[in-house]
Amino acid sequence: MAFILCGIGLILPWKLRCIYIEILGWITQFVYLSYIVILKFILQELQKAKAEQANYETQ
Amino acid sequence: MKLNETATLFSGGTDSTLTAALMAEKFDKIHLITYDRFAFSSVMNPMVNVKKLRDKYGEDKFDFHVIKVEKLTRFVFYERYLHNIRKHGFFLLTICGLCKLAMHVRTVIFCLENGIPNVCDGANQGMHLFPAQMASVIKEYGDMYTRYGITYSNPVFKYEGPQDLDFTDRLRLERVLSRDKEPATATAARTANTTGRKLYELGLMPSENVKGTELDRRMQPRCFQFILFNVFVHWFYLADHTYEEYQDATVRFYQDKIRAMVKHLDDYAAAGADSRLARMIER
Repeated sequence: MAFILCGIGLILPWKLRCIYIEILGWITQFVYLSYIVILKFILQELQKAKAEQANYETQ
Repeated sequence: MKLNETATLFSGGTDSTLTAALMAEKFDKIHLITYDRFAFSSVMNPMVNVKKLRDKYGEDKFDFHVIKVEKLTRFVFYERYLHNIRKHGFFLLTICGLCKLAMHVRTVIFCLENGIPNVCDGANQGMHLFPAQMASVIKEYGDMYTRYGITYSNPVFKYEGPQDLDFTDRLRLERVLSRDKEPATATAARTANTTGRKLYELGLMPSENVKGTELDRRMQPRCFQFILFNVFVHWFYLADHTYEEYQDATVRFYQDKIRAMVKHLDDYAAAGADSRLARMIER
């Protein structure tokens, strides 16, 4: 996969190469931000569940 | 010759900002140079730290220049392209190193035009995968500058790199939870001799480790070009080679490239406006 990504980059002329890398960059950002959003959502739900459990036990 | 002036390659990040601050104590005038080309955006972001430096050291101390290097960068990347592919292969994808080479060539021209005999940048030993921050390549740059009567230095080279700079560090839970703030577990930064810590002590940064935070992103131009560089280095080359092999191959490539650029700079120094480089200088 790395060979293919690098190979494409190597044969592209200047502006096309820049645009190609920009696309790779945005894909990387999308994957990273998706990870952040999903992880934060899971953590929030776990914290809510923990708070509810604590409420239930005190009642 | 303006012996009391220096040019600083200035991205607005912590390393180049500390370099500028240290130079403010040695020189009367510091020319902060930020470069601009296709695929860079937000090139005025370094003004955030230019203002902080001016507030601390004086309004007249720093001149801020944004210089276009589109044509020159394209030339540096693609000159003798087939020859370089045969000889150096995928090292032509060390994009950050080639981009920096173009900046150094343009800095030589800036210094020759303005009579400035000193240049420095924020190269740091912690960024050892980047060609322009490897000691052996830095030596080649030093020789190039010396050829034109310019002293090139790296005042923050010996500072330690931050402990959690790796991309995968950003995926750690504590980092996710404190994305815009200094990570709570960055205790190593408080005892390490980093540029972030020094900037914090000087009152130029709000915390000791801003690298990778939203603040860090807002201080510098945005550039995604490092993505392909990282794919080449981490995923492709270092998968089958040692760091020492990477370093040796990088030094060979940059010796070759710098030699080629020196020929053009010699031509520029001799022929001025009639030289090939002169046609690539954008005002």
